Amino acid sequence: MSSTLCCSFAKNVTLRSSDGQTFEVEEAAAQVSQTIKRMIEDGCTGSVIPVPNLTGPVLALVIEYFKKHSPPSDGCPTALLEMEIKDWDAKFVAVDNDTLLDLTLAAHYLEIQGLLDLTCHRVADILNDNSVEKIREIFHIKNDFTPEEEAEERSKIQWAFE
Amino acid sequence: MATYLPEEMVVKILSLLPPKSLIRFKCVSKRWHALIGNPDFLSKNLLNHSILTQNPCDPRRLTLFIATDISDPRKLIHSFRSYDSLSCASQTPLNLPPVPPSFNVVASCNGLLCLWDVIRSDLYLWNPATSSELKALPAVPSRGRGEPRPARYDPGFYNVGFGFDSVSNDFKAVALVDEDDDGWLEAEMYSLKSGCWRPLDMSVNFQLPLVSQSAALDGVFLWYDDGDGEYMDQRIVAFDFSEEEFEMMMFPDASFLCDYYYQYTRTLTKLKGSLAMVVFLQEVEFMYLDVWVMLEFGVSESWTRLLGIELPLHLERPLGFWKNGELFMQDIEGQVVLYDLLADTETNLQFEGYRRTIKVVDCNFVQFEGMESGVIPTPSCSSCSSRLHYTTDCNNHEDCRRKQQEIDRKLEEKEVDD
Repeated sequence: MSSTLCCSFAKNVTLRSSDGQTFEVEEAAAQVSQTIKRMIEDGCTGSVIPVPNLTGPVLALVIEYFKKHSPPSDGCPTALLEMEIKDWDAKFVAVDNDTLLDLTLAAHYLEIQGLLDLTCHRVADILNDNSVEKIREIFHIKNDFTPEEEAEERSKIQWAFE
Repeated sequence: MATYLPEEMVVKILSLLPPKSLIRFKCVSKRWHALIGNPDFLSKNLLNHSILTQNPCDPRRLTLFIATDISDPRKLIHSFRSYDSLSCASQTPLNLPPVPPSFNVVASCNGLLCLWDVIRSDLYLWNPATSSELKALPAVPSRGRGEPRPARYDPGFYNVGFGFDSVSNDFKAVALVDEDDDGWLEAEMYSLKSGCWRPLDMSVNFQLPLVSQSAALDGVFLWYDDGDGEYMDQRIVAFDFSEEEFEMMMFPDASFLCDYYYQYTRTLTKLKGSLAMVVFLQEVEFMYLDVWVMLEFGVSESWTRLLGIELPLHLERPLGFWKNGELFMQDIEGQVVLYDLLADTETNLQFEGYRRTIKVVDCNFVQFEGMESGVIPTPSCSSCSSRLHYTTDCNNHEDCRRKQQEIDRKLEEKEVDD
């Protein structure tokens, strides 16, 4: 194996959250995020990489995701490993609703396609199982229908509520 | 801390939801109401996307065109196409052995096709991925009511359905038989695992024309009368392969169309995963097409009208939907064309057959788990599998024996009553 490859595994980067917490993570793992990958390619490696949209606790979770999803050092992922990661993913997004939305946003800002698909599907599953009232609560949406408007709207599509 | 998702994220999440949930969520807020939109086939909104657009599909999914050959009406011709591109499938399955045009494709699911020889009343299974031979199912038993049915020339059953029961992982065929010759149908069901036929309890009573129109959805088979409904009175008979039960469903109320037009036909088909109805109105100088979709299966109120458009005059018969709501149609020359309802454009798909015989079948060649590649299990019930004569008793299977005893008991009771 070439020596440059060995060195790249040892190399770490430091990420700083919006509230000033810093985390050290292997460069290869952090490159799961396309946004961070571009910053590293642009030469940000020497200094600390700021992640202004994420708070410390969320960034800590995202780094856990990085570590699990960093490319394996010994070539192709096996089917067994893929299954294990799938199980891990399912547990990873079994969190409270606010944390789930934070992770969804983080995946969006940091361009982590795998995490974005994972969280969006999880949110969609939660939506499917919940009432209109509960969805307003989860998404912090204000109901701007008047009671009459809402009653009329509901009466037109009664079957969808059964 | 409350997190607010930007609208593009909300759209991404909502686009993963089925139509029923989207319709419910129109009540969340005015913004969501506008985003989700109306089911009109036309607008670019979340609801139309959810109803019409297929996800990127499995390369093993194929579309089969089948029809009676124009140059030789004694045989059927067919063509397997890639579902994604409709070009001739690169991994062509094996060819259908030469069969007469009395063979109908009942349905295809999980890699198997079920064919029905309408004249000889025989049913066959075919696995095009591995075999160019048809496998005959045992004959539908006559249950001893009246004389044994003379083999070979009597149209022994009225209608047939075929599907997959995902609960018990079993293929099932159902035959609707008019045992008493009174127009009311009874049903026999064949399960590939058990290898034999058994009578089904009829929770609803219905009549159907001989060789009715039919449609297949996942796990459900439907029969209906496509015209004015002499038998069916605007109803659809649905059979659920897991529940093993029949249910009657209503067509949507499209009477406002029929007031204006004299002749119309209804075609039931599949649009994405939902049941859809295409009403086709034909007048001398005018053709009109109306599309409806049943957004929640079995709920009549969820029939939703998507659009109505005038059609080019040379298009004669709707055959089913393609992936994003384009319609397969047969033209007056017997050619299959793909018609884009919105753009009013058509593509000739280079397949022709006798005008009324063309069928488009959605085939998925994903092997189902538990079935060895390409092997259709041999019916293990020797009594049932006999095809030389109709048999009334099957004592090799507990299930068949129990059913048979039940029938014998009923017959005895009837005799005592008489």
